[in-house]
Amino acid sequence: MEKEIYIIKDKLEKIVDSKKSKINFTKKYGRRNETVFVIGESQYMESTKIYEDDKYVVFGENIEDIKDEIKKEIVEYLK
Amino acid sequence: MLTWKDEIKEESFITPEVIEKLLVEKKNSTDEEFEAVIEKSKKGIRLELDEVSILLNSESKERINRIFETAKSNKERVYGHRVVLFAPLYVGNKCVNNCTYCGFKVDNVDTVRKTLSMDDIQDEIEALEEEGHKRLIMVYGTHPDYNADFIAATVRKVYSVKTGNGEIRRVNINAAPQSVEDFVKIKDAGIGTYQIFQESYHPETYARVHPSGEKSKFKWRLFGLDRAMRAGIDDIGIGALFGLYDWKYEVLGLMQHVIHLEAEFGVGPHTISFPRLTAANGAVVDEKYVVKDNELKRIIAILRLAVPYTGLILTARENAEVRKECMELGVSQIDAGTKIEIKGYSKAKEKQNIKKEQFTIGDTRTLDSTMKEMMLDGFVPSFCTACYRLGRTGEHFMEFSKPGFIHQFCTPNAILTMTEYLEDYASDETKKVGQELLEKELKTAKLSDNVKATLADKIKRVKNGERDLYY
Repeated sequence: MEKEIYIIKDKLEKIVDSKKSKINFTKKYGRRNETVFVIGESQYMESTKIYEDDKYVVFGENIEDIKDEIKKEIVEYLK
Repeated sequence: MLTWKDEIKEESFITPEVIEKLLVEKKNSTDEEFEAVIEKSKKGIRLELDEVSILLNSESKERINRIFETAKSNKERVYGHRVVLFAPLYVGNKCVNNCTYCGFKVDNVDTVRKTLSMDDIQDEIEALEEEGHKRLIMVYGTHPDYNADFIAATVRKVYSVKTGNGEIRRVNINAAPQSVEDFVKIKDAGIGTYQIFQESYHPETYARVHPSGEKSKFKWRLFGLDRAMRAGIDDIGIGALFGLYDWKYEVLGLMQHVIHLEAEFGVGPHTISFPRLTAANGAVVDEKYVVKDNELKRIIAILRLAVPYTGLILTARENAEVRKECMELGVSQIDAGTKIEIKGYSKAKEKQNIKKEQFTIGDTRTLDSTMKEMMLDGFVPSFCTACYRLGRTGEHFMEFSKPGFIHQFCTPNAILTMTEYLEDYASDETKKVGQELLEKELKTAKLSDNVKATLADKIKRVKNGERDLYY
């Protein structure tokens, strides 16, 4: 059974400064990626792909210094 | 599972008596009232029904010009010079409906019925990709053969076809209303927008022009996009076929639909379409409601004022001249290189065969020639598909209303996809025109600082062979 999504959302909220960065946790539907949840506000910066598997893609804006930490949490959550 | 044969219990959100009353009451608005509506629209706020009625009832030359000027400035502010390009792909023209205006109606026994096989789709997509298309709208008749499983399978097929640098990156759908369960199946194939046009929001007219078949059920269709939303499809398109009933009434019908969706789901439609009735095999046209060119321009301009952030689609039913004139008034998407004959792209026939088509098209230019003429007029053609691939859909798309969005995402993405086209598909002449426009845009377009710092490098990467770069 899938873990509740709020678990990872809560964890990422502690890492991301919502005034400076944005995380978009999306689910894949073919070529379309649909938002599951967003943390932070758009910084109107280029999106970086933080994590991808066959089901999810996670994008981030202005997250270079916390990218590895975010990825680690996501991998742990999706185990 | 709910079907079209079941009774829809919700009360219709279309209230003809309210619309008719407003169209009479707002005939004599003062100049102050009119200006207040204009000022509200300039702030990017969606207009209310009574405010739109004031615009619809503004018949003086001065007021119409004021509406046109405001529409142009709204368009420039929200969309810049960008216009998104797509191609329609008619998958099948079998149909159980009997719409009086349509060439595919079941009573048209001389219509040649055809459904694309998966091999046909492969051929069609290869032909479209070789022209440079990246965005499609797939169109299906209403028929048991075109069920949700079939639609989903055809979408997946389209995404699987790659030709050189070519690929279809976004597939929108125009098909019959589905049940929630069937919308889920279609959503899972990864569609962009799901369009359902109500055709007419006037129940009596609707009943008259849809005498039988699934489409005769007004409320099944009206609540179709509610079911799509409930299935998780938050990217939807509405439309009316202008020429069936009074055009002012239909604009207010579209607005009631917008207001209903916003109230119910917190987000309005992604796009609005406003095709005008054209000749079709066996079509019945009521001359009283034929929409003239100047009225079409008023429809577009008033919609641009009423819903500043909703995409407006003008199709190739209109001829090239009309499309050119309408573009600056607020149109944000057009189809190009359009062939509506089944298997039309792979056969590349020069003349329309109306017995295989739903209606006649007015703009028969190729994609290359449409691109060239648009760019000569200063428009930046865009094949951008970034938003729906980055989760910027539905309510998340509302960021679009902030000025930073266009400068950071839309304009550079249009420039990048235009560069791809110029590199891979443009004729020498079009490439020359495009390069000149590109240089001008890079100097004059309002871009955010971080885009300014990286866009030149991304363009260089595209010229060196990388594809599908976006912000």
